This record gives sequence, structure tokens and C-alpha cells, in this order.
Amino acid sequence: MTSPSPHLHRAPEEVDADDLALLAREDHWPRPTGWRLSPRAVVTYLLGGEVGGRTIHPKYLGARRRVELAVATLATDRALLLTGAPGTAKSRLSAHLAAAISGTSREVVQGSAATTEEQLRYGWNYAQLLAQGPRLEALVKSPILRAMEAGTQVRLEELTRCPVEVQDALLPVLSEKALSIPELALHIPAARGFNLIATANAHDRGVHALSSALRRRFNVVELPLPDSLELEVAIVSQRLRELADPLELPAPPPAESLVKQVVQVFQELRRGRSLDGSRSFGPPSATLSTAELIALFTDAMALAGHFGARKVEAEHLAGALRSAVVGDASRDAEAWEAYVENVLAQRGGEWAALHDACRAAS
Amino acid sequence: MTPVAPPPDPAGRRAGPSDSPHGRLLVPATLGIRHFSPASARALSLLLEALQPDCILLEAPVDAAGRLRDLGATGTRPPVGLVGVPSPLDGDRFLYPLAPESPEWVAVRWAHERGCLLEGIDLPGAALLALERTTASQSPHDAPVDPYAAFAAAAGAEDFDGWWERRFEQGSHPETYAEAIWALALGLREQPWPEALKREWLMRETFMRRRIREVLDRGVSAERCLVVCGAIHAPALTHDRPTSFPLESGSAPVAGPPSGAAQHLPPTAATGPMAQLTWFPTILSTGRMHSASRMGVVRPPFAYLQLLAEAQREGRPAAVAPAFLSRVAGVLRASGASISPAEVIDAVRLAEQLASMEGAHVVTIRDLRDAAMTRFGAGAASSEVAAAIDLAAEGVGVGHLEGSRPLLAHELERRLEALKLPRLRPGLHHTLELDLRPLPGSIAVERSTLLHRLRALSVPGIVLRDPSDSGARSAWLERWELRGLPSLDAALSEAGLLGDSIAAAVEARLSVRLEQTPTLTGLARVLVDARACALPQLLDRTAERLGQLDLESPPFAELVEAARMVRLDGSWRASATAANASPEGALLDVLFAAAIRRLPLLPEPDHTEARDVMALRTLLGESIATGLRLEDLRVQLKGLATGLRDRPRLRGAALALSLEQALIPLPELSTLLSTRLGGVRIRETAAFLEGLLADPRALHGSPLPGALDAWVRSADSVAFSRALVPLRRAFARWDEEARATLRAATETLASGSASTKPEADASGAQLHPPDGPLARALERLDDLEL
Repeated sequence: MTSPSPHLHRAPEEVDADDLALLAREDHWPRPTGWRLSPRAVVTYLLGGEVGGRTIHPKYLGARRRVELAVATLATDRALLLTGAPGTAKSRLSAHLAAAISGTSREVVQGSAATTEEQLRYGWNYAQLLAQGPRLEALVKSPILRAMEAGTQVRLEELTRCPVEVQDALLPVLSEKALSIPELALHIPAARGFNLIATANAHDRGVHALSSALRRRFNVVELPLPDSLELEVAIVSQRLRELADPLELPAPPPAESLVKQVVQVFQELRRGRSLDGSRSFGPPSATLSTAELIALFTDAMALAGHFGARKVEAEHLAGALRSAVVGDASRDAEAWEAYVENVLAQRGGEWAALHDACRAAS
Repeated sequence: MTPVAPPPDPAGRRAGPSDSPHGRLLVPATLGIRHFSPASARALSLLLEALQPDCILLEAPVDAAGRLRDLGATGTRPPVGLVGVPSPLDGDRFLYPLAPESPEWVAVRWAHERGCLLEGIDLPGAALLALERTTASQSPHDAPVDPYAAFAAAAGAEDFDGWWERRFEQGSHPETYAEAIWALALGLREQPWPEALKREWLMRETFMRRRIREVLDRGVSAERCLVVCGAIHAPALTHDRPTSFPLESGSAPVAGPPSGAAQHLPPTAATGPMAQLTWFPTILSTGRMHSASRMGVVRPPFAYLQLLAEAQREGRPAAVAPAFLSRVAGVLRASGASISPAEVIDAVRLAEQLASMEGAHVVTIRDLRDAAMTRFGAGAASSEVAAAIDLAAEGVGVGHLEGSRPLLAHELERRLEALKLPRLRPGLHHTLELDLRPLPGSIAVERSTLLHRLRALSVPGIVLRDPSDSGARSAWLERWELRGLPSLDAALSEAGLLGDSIAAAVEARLSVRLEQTPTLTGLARVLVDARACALPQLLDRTAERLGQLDLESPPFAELVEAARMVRLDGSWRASATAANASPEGALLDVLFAAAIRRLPLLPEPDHTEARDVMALRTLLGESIATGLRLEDLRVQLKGLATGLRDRPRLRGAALALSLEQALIPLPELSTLLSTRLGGVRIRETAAFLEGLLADPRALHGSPLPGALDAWVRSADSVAFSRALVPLRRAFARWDEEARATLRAATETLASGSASTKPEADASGAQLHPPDGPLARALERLDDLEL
């Protein structure tokens, strides 16, 4: 048994190094210059499959075609923009794409309102700059510049949270595939294999919308919320297994029946109607993403492990469930209570424990 | 090597068990095809040239083949088809479509050009329709497995159409076509088809074999004969391969139908009585063939298939992607989108990359669709881009029948001339305003009726502008836009499938809507269309259906919306006599009654429901103004206004409605106000006033301002203090203009009673001034901090 990692988060190229090595060994399809795997093998890495007598486990559970579109985009010279509601695995897919194509997912810029142009292009070590003037040694390269030189994929998280003028710094990078450093009279062309994978929260579109000039330089692939109960249960179960070790969760994941019930609650609240279509109700304002579901379960696993009998029960989930649903207390609390009383209460049987716990938490 | 099934010999005929001991061929060569497939068409062309048959036996209704060959006349341009019309005219119609680049068209054209015999080998059209109905009634709506998808999955493909396109349209050489289609047919027959469909096929295939024998028995040589049928039937028409489906145990064995035109399928409860079909040639358009075809292909992308066929002929398969995506971009640009050539190039590269990830060098329509959605639609499910892709894939091709125009086109020309409307020639762009009021010598209503009928038939280029778009000033004014489009004849031809005249076709189409629409608003729309199209019988039937609906179930808003649609809009339409005697009038009465019955059941209305209550109120007023009596409703309304103890807001709204209809005499109103406003529950008083005073317009000419003023004047200081907050709340929702109007009205009232002494409270403070107390209270609204 390997000792647990000392780090909270491990990069996909570390966690799935065996899969990547196997695929690289068995991959006989043509690879674009600068790519460690062929586009086909990248898709297999992401969606899973049988390779060389071994099973590659899926890293993304969702529509195959969307993944193919993302990979195909990166094989052209268009950049890729992954959009979707919060918690639809945009960042996860982006990291795994970079790991599979370039062997590293660490070249990343985290976009925010505080992101500056220097973080996208380059900055200076001001001590050296003042002491020696503009020299290559004083240059602080951004992850994008480093990726351009190395011919690797670079990730830009939350693109639409960056101010528009900062976003525009990407235009020459994506158009000319080169970056000029006038202070050093340098023109750095991107090596083959370079491309950019950006993510954007669909809810942020109105905050800092992309200019049409920048949007034209991206192919946009939208990642949807899971549309079936089985798929979302599979996603949650897989992630809980993966997170148990790095988060040192003291309790095992809950029983699948409980996972299924809570996932069903999320899906019904998102849609504003019960899965069998028999009841309609006003959906709450919260997004209720898969990522929130996973966080809800990990919280419950910690709660049950540290303060309970190391077994996740409905009572460990109910409080967090209510907190996830009630985003805007003024209207969501009423919607949540109506759902508990009008939908959960009617089901009885194996739903009774969850209903009682939710009622108590309300 | 000649592509016949299977295995072909160099002469294009099957060897082996089909030969008689004397060397005479017993079974003709058989070619399996996919309907509408250019690859099948190419293979058939080559085989026809190689075989030079004297007779083509086509999988077409046996009674249609005589007319079918005539469609191959020089000058006819597909898409065209044959339509089988039952007698009497109230049954289903059968359409046999011929698309460009399709094997059926190749067969028909070749037979006509070479003087070759063309025989149909399938059941008669009426029998096929009946059989199809039976199959549909016995097949599960949601089959657990899609047989085509199962076949594709077994072949390692994502979907059947994509697999077919790669394997046949792009990858199959005509000379290897026969082997490939034979393997496909056998593979498909092993899939889990519904039992009812398998029984249908068994029956049809038995008949087809019998028909082939009949033709051969007439002396036609099997060697000079070619059978062309859907690929899945091909193995059943030969003797040396497995031909039957394994039916599930317990399924009834099916006997072959007896020969003879109308006896092939006995009438049953499911099929109904059998009717003979009379066949007519018809023009079709590519974008609409899917709606009428029974050939099992959903929305065939004719324009794309044509593009593909041309590229294959020219040996330039890579030209398909840029050509198709440029078309999509062109459609989007025409609707105002800005798609640059660079984006088209990006989309082509993305599509090619998707194809290469499957190990292919040529894109499929799936790659092109996904690339266009990603590139032009920004990855989202854009309905505009999806529609543009569909249009580019289906095309707008319109067929042409040499020397023939649709029957309805002749009728339309006569009617346009009689009504002094312009002929809808290509290039015409004409706008027309119709004043529907009954003016002397006006033919506006007749013109409007014709245009509404054309619109109901989806005739292209006939657009009724929304009054809010066009700035139309009144309900009696209609503004139309007429365009002459090349697809007019195709649309009229297709409409001709529904009826022999424009009126009959419209009635048939609206009847289908009437039968298929379960909702209240859907039926109300049918009624509105039936009225606009001047179809009194349909109007009665629709009103009857609406009257039979359970009106207690639909949401309140739907009731109000239905009433809005049904409401008589004046006397300018012949049927709109604005009387309870008309079907609409009686129906409106029922709808209003249902809506008002629902009022007490509603929760206290939020903003949306309040809007609906307001809409109901407006409708009632307008309806009564146009002559509707609504006697029963008046009693109901008054009951609501004076009852409804636990619904103060609705009680207020009902009182306002009653006042509008003059149902409450002034003394009764004063008593009501005194009771309601003097109550100790301020919250109830506030809700009552909000319902009562929701619409400032309703107070025009109403006794309410006077009654309110009188109450304020007479109320003691305690009652007035208690009512002031609710009054303020209710009036605060009015805009300044409405308040000013009411102020003016109450000041006028006050001037007539200036001698009234002001009251004082216990401290002696004057709570309201002597003149116009309500008016002064209104003035102080914004200053009050209560």
C-alpha cells in the first residue's frame, strides 16, 4: 500500500501516470506535433476504455461527442473555451486535457477580477530590473509565455471573471501565436503543441462578456449538468472514491441508495418537478451543481467520521442539503420546505429517514 | 462484376439454386437499396446499363406503378411524387415520393426513357396504409431497443446514419455495393424488430414474391428482369438465403394475403374499411418531404446528399465540407448573423479533425453539424444555427411536373383575380391593409378569409403582421405581406393532398389539429383559425370540443387566455355576430363562468395572478360591450363581490368587476364599503382595497369615488385612522396622473357638499378637511409615513 500523498491536491499527470504511460505505449495513431498522445488516445484517457488488456478508468463522465469536440479543437489552432454552469467539471476536464496532451496541467492562470495583464503575458523582477535594467534574467514569464516556448497546453480558469482589457491581452497570443517583448526587442513565437484551454462559468457571461474578437478565437464547448440520474450517481460515486484518500475522509462513502436519493433531490429541485413528472414546484435559485453534491457528501463523510459512527446517515446530510438548496433565504427556504413536505413526505418507505432528517434540519 | 445480390455473377444475375434444371433463370436479379440514397442510385444506374432489363419490378404499390412510369417524362424534375387519394376523401393519403439522386427516380426515369416495363410489387396503397395503421397500433411506443442503433453499435459506430454514410455514400464502390448491401440486409434482419413490424414485412414480402411470379408467368424473362426493393426485403425475395424472421413464440403465424387488388388485407377493427386509392402526380419540395413520406427516413438531408453525390461523381470528396458549411453560413448571414469566411474555414478544419479522429479522411454530416454548432453557435444549443443547418441539409428544392400545375394553384389564381389581389408570381412583394369593418361594397373580409386559409395551409410568403409590429391601429385592421416564392406550387401541391379545394384542404388540416390538440388554449387557437378561415362547421365542432373539456383543471391563466382568444372581436367577420347564439358566444359564457368559479379557489393573487384577474376583467368588459349578455355570470359576480369572506383581495376585484357591470346599486355599495373599510383587521382591509382599486381606469363613470368620498366623510376618526394606511397602500400603486384624475373627481364631489362640518378627534385635531377629504388624503399620500 502506497503512503498517502502529503499534498491536498495532486495533478492528474501524477495521479493517472500509469494510464498515461500505458496509452503512450499502446498508441499507434498519428500524434500532432508536440502532443504526447494522439487525439484518439486522449479521448480514451478521458472517457475510459480497454487498452493493452488493461482498463483505463474514465476521468470525465458525460457525452462522448463533447469531449471529441474539445480534443479536435485543440488539434486545430483554435483555442478551447469550456463553458457551463458551476460544478460541471470544466476545470477537471481542462486539467486532464492538458495532462494528456502535454504531460502537465500545471501551467495555469487563475482568472479573477484581480488578474492583471502581466499574469497573462509577462512581468518583471523589479529588484533586478532596477539594478540591471531590462534583461532576460529580470523577466518573469507568465504560464502562457512558458507554454508558448515549451509547446504545451496552458489553462486559463474563469476567463470571464477577468476584466475585459485583461482578456484582450490574449488577442495577439491567439491570433499571431506569438508574443512580443518590446523591452528586450524579442518576438517569441509559440512552439507547435501550444494551445490554450479556458473555462468560463455560464453564469458570469453578463459580468465580463467576451468581446466578439476574442470569442471568434475560441471554439466553445458547453458542458451540461448531467441529465440522467444514473449518470450523476456514477459521477458522484466515482469522485467520492477518488477524494477519500487526498481528503483523508474518516468515513466511507454513503450507501448507494442514499447517494441516489440525494442526487434525485438535486435533480428534482433543478428541474422544478419530480422525476416521475407527477409534481411541479418552484425551483430554488441555487445552481445545485454536481460539484456541490460532491462537497455535500464529503462534508457528511467528515461529520460522520469525526463525530458519528463512521457511517454516513441521512442526518449527516440533511443540514448541508438544506444549506445547498437555500441560496436566497427569502424565497428558497419556502421552496425547500414545500419540497420536503409535498414531495419527500409523500414517498414514505425508504425515503422516510431522509425526509425526517430534512424536516428536523428545517 | 455487376452489383446484384448475392453473390453476383459477371452477367449480373444470380447463379445456383435459382436456376432451373433446364438452365432457365427462375428468379430475377435483385438489388437492395436504401430509399433516397445516392449510393444506391449509382449502383442501380450501373446495373441497369449492364443488364438492360425489359422489366423493372419496383417496391411500390402495385396499383401505382402505371402512373409512376409517367413521372419519368422529360422535363419532370424531382422532388415529385404520386399521391394515392382514397374515395371517399376522408381517409389517409399515400405518398410515394421521388427525390433527386434517389434509386427510385433512377428506376422510373430509366423505365420511361427505354420504354421498359415498370411494375409495382408491393401491396396496393390502401392495403399498405391499413397495414401500417395496424402495425402502429400494435407496436410499443417506446421500443426498448432501436434496431438501427443496435446494428450500428454492433458495427462499432455511434449511429446508423453515420455508419451508412461512411460505408456506402463515401466508401462503397458501385461494384462492391451488392455484397455490402446484402451483408447489411442480413445483419439488419437479425435485429430486434417489433413483432408487429415483422408480421407486416412477412405479409408484404409474401405478396412481393407472388407478384414477381405473376410477372414471370406472364412471359417476362427472369433474365431480362430486375427487382429493386428496400435492402431489408432483398433476402426475402430470393430462395437461397434465410428469408424469414424468427417470430417470438406465441405469435400468430401469418398467412400470405390472397392475390387481387383490394383483398390483400381484410378490413378489421384496427384497419377500418378498405378503400381504393386514386393516384395523382404531385410536386414536392425537399424541406417538406419528411412530413409526408412513409419511407422510414426522418428528415432526409436531400441537399446534402446531392452535394455528396456530386462530389463523389467529380472525385472531390473533400469539397463537401467547405461547400456545406458555406451554405450554413450563408443561411445564417441571410438572417442577419455575422459569420466570417475565417469562421467557415475554422469550422471546416474542426469537422475534418473530428473525422480524422475516427480514422476517416472525409467528413460526415454529423461532423459538419457538430462543427457548425460549435463554431457558429458558440457551443450552445442555438436553435437558429440548428435551423440553418437543417435548411442547408434539406435544401429548398422544388420539383417540377412537365405540363402540370397543382389543382389548387388554378383555384388560387381564380380567387386572387376575383378578389383583385396580385398573382403570387416569383419576385412579388406586396403589402396589404384590410379594413374588416362592414363598409358598403367592401370585400376585405373575403380577402382576409382567403389569406388566412393560405396561411393555415403554410403557403410560403403569406405573412400576417403582428399588430404591434406593424403599428396596426385597431382589431379591425389587418396588415398582410405577400411574397411570390418559387416554392408556392410545391406547397399548393402538398396542400392538395389534404383536399380538392382550398377550403377542403384547410378544413382537413385544421381538423387534424382539432383531433390532436388536447389543451384548452390549443383548441381555442383552432377556433380562432376556423373563424378567420370562415369554416362554420369546423367552428361548431371546435366549440363543441371546447365545451366538453374539463374546465376545472386548466390553470386560471389558461382559462383567461382561452377566453381572450375566443372573444368575439367585432361584427366585421361574418361569423362574429356578437351574440350568445353563436358558438363562440356560448363558449365564452362557459369560459368566463369557469374562470369566475375559480376566483374563490385561487390563493391570494400574486402579481401574475393579479394580472390575470385584470385581464379577465378587461375581457368581460369588452365582451359585454360587443353584445354578450352573460346573465348567469352577473349573478355569480355579484355573489363574489358580496361574499368571499376569506379572500379580501379577490372580493375587492369582484366588487370592481360588479361595479363595472352596474350590478351593485349605490346604497348597497355604501353599506359594503362601510362594512369592509370599518373592519378591525387592517390587513384584510388593505387587501380588499388593493383588489378594488387595482385598475384606476375602472373608476371612470363608476359610483365608487363618490361612495369612497362619502365613507371618508362620514367615518369617525377611529375608523378613518384605521382605513388610512390601507387606502394609502392601495392608492400608492397608482401613477400620478391617475391620482390627479381621482382628485379632480372627488373635488367636484366635495364642492357639492361644502357645508359638511369637519370632524375632530378627542384631542380636537382635525383629521380631515371639510372639502374633498378623499382628495386631500390622496394629496398627502407621499407625505405619510405610516
